[in-house]
Amino acid sequence: MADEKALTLEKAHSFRFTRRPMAIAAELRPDWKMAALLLILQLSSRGGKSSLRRLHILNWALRSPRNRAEFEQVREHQQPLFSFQFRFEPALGRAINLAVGEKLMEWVGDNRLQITVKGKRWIADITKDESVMYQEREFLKRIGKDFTETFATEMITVRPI
Amino acid sequence: MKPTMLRVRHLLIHINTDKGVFGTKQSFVDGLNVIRAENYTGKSQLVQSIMYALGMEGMQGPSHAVPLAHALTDYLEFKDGSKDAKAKVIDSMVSLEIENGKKQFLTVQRAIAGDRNKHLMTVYEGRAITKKEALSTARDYYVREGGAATKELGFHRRLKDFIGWDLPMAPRFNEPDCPLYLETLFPLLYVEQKFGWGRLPARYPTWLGIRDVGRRTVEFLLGLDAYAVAIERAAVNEEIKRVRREWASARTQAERSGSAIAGIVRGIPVEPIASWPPEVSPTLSMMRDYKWVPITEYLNGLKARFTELQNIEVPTTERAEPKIRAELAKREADLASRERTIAALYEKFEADTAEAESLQQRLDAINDDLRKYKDLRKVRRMGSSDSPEVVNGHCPTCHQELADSLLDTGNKAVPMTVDQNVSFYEEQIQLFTAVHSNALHSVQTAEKELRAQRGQVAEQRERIRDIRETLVSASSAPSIEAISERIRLQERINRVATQQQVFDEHIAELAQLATEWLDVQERLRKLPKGALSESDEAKINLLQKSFQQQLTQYKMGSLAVSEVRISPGNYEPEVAGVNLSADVSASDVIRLHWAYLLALLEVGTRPTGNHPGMLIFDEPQQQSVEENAFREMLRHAQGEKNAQIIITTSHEGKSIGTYLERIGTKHVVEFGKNRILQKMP
Repeated sequence: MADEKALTLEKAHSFRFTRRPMAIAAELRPDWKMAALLLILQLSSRGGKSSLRRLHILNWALRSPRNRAEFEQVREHQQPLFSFQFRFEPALGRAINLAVGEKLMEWVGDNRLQITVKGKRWIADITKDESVMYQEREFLKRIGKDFTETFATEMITVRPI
Repeated sequence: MKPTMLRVRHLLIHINTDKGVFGTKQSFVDGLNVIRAENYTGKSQLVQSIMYALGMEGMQGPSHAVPLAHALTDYLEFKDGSKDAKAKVIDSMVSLEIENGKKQFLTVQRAIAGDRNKHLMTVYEGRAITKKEALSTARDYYVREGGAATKELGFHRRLKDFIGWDLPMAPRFNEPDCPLYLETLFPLLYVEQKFGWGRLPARYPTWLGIRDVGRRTVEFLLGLDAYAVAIERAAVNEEIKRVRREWASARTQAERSGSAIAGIVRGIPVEPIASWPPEVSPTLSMMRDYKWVPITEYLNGLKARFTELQNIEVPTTERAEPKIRAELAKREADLASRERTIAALYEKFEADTAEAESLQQRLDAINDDLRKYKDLRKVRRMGSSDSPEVVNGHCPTCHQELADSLLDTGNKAVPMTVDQNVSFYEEQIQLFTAVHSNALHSVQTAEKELRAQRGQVAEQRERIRDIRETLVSASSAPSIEAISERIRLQERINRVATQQQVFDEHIAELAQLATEWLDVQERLRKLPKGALSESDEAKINLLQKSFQQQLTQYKMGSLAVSEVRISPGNYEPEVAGVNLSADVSASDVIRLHWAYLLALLEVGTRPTGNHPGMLIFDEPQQQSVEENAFREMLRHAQGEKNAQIIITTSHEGKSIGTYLERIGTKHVVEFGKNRILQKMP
């Protein structure tokens, strides 16, 4: 039938496939993630230094309004420790490698990461516009530097009884 | 006399020191007043204390420190016979007599040093200094505190009423609107010596946070329609908001009247409309036998049935039995079928609600991501020498190509660029918003349907119960079913009729709102598209003419006079392509400043303007402006009729004295080398 004929390959000489670009979350853009990590180091870490596991926790806490709210509830002891369930995000490792390569942060003794002078300069540059990463910065300022390594360790080890 | 006017009439500074009383008395007349004295004699203190007496120091900044020199606050140097001596200030105060366009006087008194609260002003309703009038009317007002411009005891409110100003509201950056504070107007009336000159057209206080302060103040002083237009625009917006709000409320209440009797309201437009009724008239429908019928029809049906019942006798149980047994079976079948309908509807309602919720979550997530992308775009556009290299697609260490993503995609998929990603999200938001509002709509429909069905089920159950009760009661008793049907019917008729009335009232209210909507749309249409009306343009032209004419008199050198125009946008002097403050010689900036403020006074004191006709120049001969230009300015000022202009100068005394005499300036105060603050008897 005529309809079927239209589906045959007789007239098509060749097929071409175009690779469409893929939409990805902003969290997966290298500079977004690097900026987020640097903000954690600058606003919520003593001496601009933090362990990897602590970065993982704060990274997860920072990701969405919901995560932020859950984290703050645990921080204020309104919810038990294990109720904030965070994940180790693979992209974070890559972002750290890149940021170290860019010399925005560096590994220091005790397996900790520290923000560099260049990192501080970059953050100062991009936050000249007050609105940039405003929600993130406000959250980190609220958390402040009192979220300690000990607390982070507790958060990782504690399990519901 | 013009309704808005302010004149400074008499100034008294009084200083108590440990070496006796010092101070000064000065009178000021209409027209040009020139105060000439050498440097360091205290001229600036004289005019500055006029401003202080008016509580106007906020125009120079938010500081609460007294903006006057140590001679008035701390210690005072004077000649004791022939040797220099110092006197310690114990307390000091300034008093000022002012006059308005109705020939009324007011005396204000404010402490400079001493124990008395500096925020308090004592006000007398008359000439308390020169005539000792109205001494019993003393009343304390306050300045430099919240409400000074609005509250009854706020001095600036008293002052603006005295001047005859009706101050408009001005929008601010972060706070609610405020009146156009006097501190923002006075920089156009008083130029302070140290910081005032050279900032065109004036050094406005920024700490009050008023938007477009330069435009608002000039608009006000010139009495431009632009101001009225801006105010009308704000009022229209307010009215639009009000009608919308009341419309929404009437609509909700009309719909509620429907749901109270398990009916459904259709056809009320969500947004206000200007012609009532809408093409499809709003209706309230009731469900009868699985069909929606208009409420009137429904009510008539109920009434007809009621009349019918009233005309027949209530049967006994025995007689009614066969008939009601058949009815029981019918009703039970109907109830079962309705319950199935409800179950199905409920399922749909649940499913739709869940869908709406998940769509909402999806929307929230996309919105949050979109915000992040917009931030990211700003970061990338801003650029910084410390920006990471990755963004340009290179690994910072090995400089090989690297995708703009932290996903381990290998080479399989290329991520979108940030801009692509932003527009992708924007499309998604549009799509999801549409789907979401559909889902919400079907949730609401299901809800209404459910309510109506439930109402009917309840009624059906009641009827069945009555029938059963009838069937088990004594055979000679009147049929319970028949009686309660009558009662129920009566009740139902009452309730439906009441709600119908409520519905009609709200519909009438909507009709009223529709005419108000029409009116406000009409007002909106009448507002000019641009900012300037014809009379505004005429005033701006006058301003420009006077301004350019003066610039010619003052022999401006850096630019051709005809190129300096008054901008119709912000009413400030502008030259196409030239930054006036940067590209013009310093002395020309001074000329521009004189010309602008004098032109503003000239145009603003015309009948429709709000300029109070007072202008104070403290040491206007700045930046070594040539002698001739200065003289021309004095001559121009002398020519201003409806005004009081006060000028201080340290210009060489003899020549300027002769010149002032020649141009006819009557009020010249010559201090020579003497200090203005002197020992008083």
